Amino acid sequence: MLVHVPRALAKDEVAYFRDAMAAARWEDGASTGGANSGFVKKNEQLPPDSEVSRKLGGRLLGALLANPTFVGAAIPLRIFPPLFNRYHEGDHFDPHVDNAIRGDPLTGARIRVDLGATLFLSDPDEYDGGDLVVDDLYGSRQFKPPAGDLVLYAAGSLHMVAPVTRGVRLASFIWLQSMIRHDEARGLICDLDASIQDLAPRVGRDDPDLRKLAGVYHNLIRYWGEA
Amino acid sequence: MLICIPEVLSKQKVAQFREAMANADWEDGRSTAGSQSSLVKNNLQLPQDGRAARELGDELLDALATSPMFVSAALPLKIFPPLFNRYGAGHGFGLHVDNAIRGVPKTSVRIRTDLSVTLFLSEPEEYDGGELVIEDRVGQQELKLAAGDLVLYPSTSLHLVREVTRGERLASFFWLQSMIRDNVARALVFDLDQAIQSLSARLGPADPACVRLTAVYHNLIRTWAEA
Repeated sequence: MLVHVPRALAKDEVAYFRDAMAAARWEDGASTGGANSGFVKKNEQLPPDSEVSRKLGGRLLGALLANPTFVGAAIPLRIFPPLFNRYHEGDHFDPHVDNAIRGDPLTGARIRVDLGATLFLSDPDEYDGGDLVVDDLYGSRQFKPPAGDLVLYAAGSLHMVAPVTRGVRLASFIWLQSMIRHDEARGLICDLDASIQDLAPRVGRDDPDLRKLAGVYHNLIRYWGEA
Repeated sequence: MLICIPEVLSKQKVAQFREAMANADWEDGRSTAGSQSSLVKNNLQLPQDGRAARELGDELLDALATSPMFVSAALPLKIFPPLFNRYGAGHGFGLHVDNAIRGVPKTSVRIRTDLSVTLFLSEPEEYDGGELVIEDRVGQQELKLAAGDLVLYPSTSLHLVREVTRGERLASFFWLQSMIRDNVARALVFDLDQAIQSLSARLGPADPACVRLTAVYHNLIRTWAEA
């Protein structure tokens, strides 16, 4: 599953996040890399337990959970507290898959990482390189969208951040456990939801066929969902 | 999921079937019963490898293949050669469940009985009693359909045929293995198909929502089907 969510965060929110990040203390991004990915990760990160990281993270989750495209595609069950990173010239994150299980040291909560998401906080003209590259079913895709956009991808697919060759790339990334574990099943439900959203204004919410489709949607979630 | 499908056989076809059945030899219906159901089964059957049963059975299968409702609801993978039975006054078939696995005689073909079918060949006014009664945990459904109509229901249910007290009840019955084993999953795919058929008729099959829903339909079958 690979989904681009435009304007997940409004421009004025992006500016607020960047102000807070500019005033914060940063650490080596290797602190949250797994045994396998620690070798190939070179960037900076807001300390995960810092107040600024937690505060911005909570604010970001509020925006994401109010976004129908994000919720419809991710069908989130549990979301790991968002992390914030910064790539300077020469920084990069080589191809890797995310760890399957993540524990939050602060709360002890554990999640199975079904999906990863990157929220871009720098505009494309602020840096060169730094593309998010994700290997999907149909080949590798590159992303460098405007600040505020989000890209959601299967945590099990190989992905990387290409080396930054100029400027600074700011981003947040999150991991989440979906109610629908399997990527293909979630993709089907997401497509069904999108079709229903497309049809609703055209045929009316109380149309019998639309109600039948809504029934199928909920029954598929009941069939596959973990809660 | 219990579905009644009207006019699978035309009245003219029903008359042809009945004529062939009137001229055939009949045997005790216990010839195809399992150990529990042979205790409660009391009717007559066309011998399953006899010419009459085979010719009528093939004709019935041809008719079923052209019924979009039957194909959509059953998604048949393997169909047991149809059997034909006759209940006269005093005949009945007490409460039983169908065997899970049925071998087709004289072949190596085995089917898992996911769905059971009864096709009525007598009109309701020709006999008293003889209702097909299907039980579930909250009660029972009684069926006495017009000649040419069929009922399709999960083989997991306990069911019986009430004693006939007047006249004669002719029917065909058979089992099938569906491409989709799970009753809940199969019902979902059926609902989705019905909604797509109806929406395609209203919006045109090339409507983008219909195209996407059709993709969801096929991908659900791909997810669940045995072939």
